[in-house]
Amino acid sequence: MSAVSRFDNQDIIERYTDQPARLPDAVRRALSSVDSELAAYALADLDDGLAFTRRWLVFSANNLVVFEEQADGVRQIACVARSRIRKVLLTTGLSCHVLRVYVAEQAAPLVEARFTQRQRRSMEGLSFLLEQAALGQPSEAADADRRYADSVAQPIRDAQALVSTRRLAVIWRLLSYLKPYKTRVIWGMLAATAVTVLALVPPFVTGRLIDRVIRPAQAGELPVSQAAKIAWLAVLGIATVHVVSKFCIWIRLRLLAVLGELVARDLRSELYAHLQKLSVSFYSRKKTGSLITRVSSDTDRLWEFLAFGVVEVTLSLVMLCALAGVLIYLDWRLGLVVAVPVPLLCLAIHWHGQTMNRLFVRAWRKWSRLTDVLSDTIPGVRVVKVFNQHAREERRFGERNDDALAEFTRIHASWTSFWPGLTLALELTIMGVWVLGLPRLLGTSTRFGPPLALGNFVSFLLYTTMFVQPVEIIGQMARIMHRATSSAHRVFEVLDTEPEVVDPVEPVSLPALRGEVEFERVSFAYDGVRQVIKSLSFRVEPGELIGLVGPSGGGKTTLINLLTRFYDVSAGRVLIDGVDVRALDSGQFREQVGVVLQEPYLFHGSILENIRYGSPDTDFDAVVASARVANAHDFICRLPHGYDTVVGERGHTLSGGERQRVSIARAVLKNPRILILDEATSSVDTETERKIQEAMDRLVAGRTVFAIAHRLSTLRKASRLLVIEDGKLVESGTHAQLLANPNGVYQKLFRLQQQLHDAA
Amino acid sequence: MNSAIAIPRSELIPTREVAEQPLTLAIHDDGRLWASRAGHSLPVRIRRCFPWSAPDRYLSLHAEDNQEFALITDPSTLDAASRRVLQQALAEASFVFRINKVHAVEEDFELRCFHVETAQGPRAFQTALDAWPRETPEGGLLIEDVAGDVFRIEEPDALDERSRELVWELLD
Repeated sequence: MSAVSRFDNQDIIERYTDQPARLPDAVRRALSSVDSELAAYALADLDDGLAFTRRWLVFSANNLVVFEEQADGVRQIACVARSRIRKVLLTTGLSCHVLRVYVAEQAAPLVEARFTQRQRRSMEGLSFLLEQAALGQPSEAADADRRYADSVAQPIRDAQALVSTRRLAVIWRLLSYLKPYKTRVIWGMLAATAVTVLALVPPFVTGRLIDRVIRPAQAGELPVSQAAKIAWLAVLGIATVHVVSKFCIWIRLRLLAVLGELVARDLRSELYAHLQKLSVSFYSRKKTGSLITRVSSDTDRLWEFLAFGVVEVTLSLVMLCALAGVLIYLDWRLGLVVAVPVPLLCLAIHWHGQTMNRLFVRAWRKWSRLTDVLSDTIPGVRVVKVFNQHAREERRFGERNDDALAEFTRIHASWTSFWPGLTLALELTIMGVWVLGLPRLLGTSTRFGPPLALGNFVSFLLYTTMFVQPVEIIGQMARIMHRATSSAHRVFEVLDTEPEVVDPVEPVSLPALRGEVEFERVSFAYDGVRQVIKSLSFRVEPGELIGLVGPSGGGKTTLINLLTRFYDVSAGRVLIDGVDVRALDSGQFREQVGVVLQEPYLFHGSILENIRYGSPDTDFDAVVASARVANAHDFICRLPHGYDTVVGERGHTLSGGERQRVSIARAVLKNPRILILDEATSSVDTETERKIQEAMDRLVAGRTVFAIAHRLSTLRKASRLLVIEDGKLVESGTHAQLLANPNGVYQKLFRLQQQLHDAA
Repeated sequence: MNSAIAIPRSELIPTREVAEQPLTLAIHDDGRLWASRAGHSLPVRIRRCFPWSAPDRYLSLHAEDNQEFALITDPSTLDAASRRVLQQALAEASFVFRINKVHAVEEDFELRCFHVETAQGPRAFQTALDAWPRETPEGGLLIEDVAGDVFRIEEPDALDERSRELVWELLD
């Protein structure tokens, strides 16, 4: 994890939890009197009576020390020498777990720490290191602060899928995507501004027309012919303003709508390109649905914000200020009557928005309960019928349906009351203008100001009606910003994730691998703490067929992940033809590695496209030849559309065995120097297995092959078998050699399988 | 105090005769809960089978290898000392936070952030926006935060008005 995300994790802890983001300085100072080197630490946040406390379990180079933060400072409450640790026990509960550290069997624990689920990851990491110490094994050097911060922040990161950055910073960053389209932005904004300014013109002209033309003409102060000429010119002017305004609206919509699309396109491309660079570990942490949403819905929501949200909000602010200015210019007394309530109306809309949010949360919850019934009972309709529960399910659905209706009714009751109320408030403002303006208009009173010209008053009324829309938009600004920043965050979170597996600046080029593979004292931990591969070494000559066997969870698939460099080793080296795999150009290297998985993955497209996935320009002869090697040609030709058959999403229109043979054909066509077969025949029937096995026998010829199989009989032809258990290489040799060892792991596994087979 | 006896896996599955023998519980010097029956004694973990439907009955005792050693369907059948020990062990194994007061509930970038007062003191925790609380049979609410800690509102109606207002959208 990069330094940037390390900072983020500490930031997340500070922002969301009540605990320190790192070991407090006071504890560090206290530790310095005992030991210097800090290996790991964790917080035990519950005391023996299950009340909150802060006890820090600090594992240093030589000791495990427990400190308690107290009102008057830090107190050391236990210290156990690393060399004395004999046993570590972690007992789990619902929200309270206990770690006990013993220095002798049956004796009282020297350390007993209770902690909540929030601390569990860091405590498990610490527990692992203590277990290593109990076994006399050294622990890997690591950054203790990082371990702690990663462990505590990880659940929040996973749920939130975001970095914790300020909302405004996100908006600025989002707006920076407009830079390449400066000209478009400027013209669009100019057009939008023109629309705003032009909207102010007709009411103004109308007022002037009444006061300076119509009324003088009616009073005989202006010749009718001259008045008519001026009036028609004014009408023409107003019409022109409307036409220009609509033209500007057209420019604005055209430029900014496409601008939003352009930025959304850029974001989608950048996001997708970045997703391709990210390491496999990233995908194991994130849900596929969440990533797809980021590329599709989130970028779409950002389009809406950039195309309309930014402009609408900006222009609404400009419009409100301009309207207030014009009204106060026309008549400051009446202007204030209209302008002063506006912030209050904006606030009212904002508050209403918050109430609606809460109502929607309730409705969303009730809606989820309703859809839960659907997602339960529609796929499980047979069970419902067999147990004759349709009446109960109908009742359950009916109750939840009524619940949802009640919430939606509440929502409708809220907004249908609010908006007429808001309109009424605006109209009352207008009435206020009438109440204060009418005496001045009629000249019956000067209490509220000097006499008022009719035209001014008409302008005033026209401007007042223009307040409604911007007030509404400003009131919804918080919601618009919230939606946009949430989406932007989700997108930026992916863009800011650094790939964990990175190619060197000047990689070693191995255009034609020989296929020699060596693991040299390799250790690996997915979480940086608990090692799943432990100092494992072996060497494979080019062309060997290596069977990887052993109990589930022993580390076989992890070995493959390290070999293909989906992950980097924590210690040691993986050498390909004598070169560290981390020094290679990973793209070029993977081009020479083929993988056939237990669950073959086919893309939506034709069989032809799937077989040619690694080399799209391959000719038909080679495709057919590969399919023949894979025992796939015959079944493909039986399909009505042959090689052009579209296999559907993930190849669902084919059977498991057919998919597997297509994936073998794909691997054959790639002609890899190193081939990995991961449980390739475990999920098919015997006849299909025979066909796949035949195909694989042809496929492995002349390559270095690593085959994982639980059915040990399928590995009899292997040059060597490596037995992996608990991350270690516990046995190696040929099938016959391993069977000859009466106490061997392989012999035991093989015997168990034989017994199962005989019993069947 | 019983000493540890290594019991073969097959013997952990109690025969009818063994199951009818009295079960005793004790906390040993090693800090762990030990169960003894028919001369066998071993450290066990305790779990409520129905933590919310029948919290006081059906308590399962598991050995370290996850085999069930005994099922206590009714704790009143135990002797008084064992019952005390049982309560002590349950308090720890079934510990969840009890919310007494809600200070604030806010939404923050896909998280619902709670600031509450628990029996243990103030606590801030977060849930995903679509992680709805679960109702318990007696009408309480269970909220599981992103880390997996469980928070319980035993009687939503007994909360103060402000707290009820804050969690209003989560209540029925």
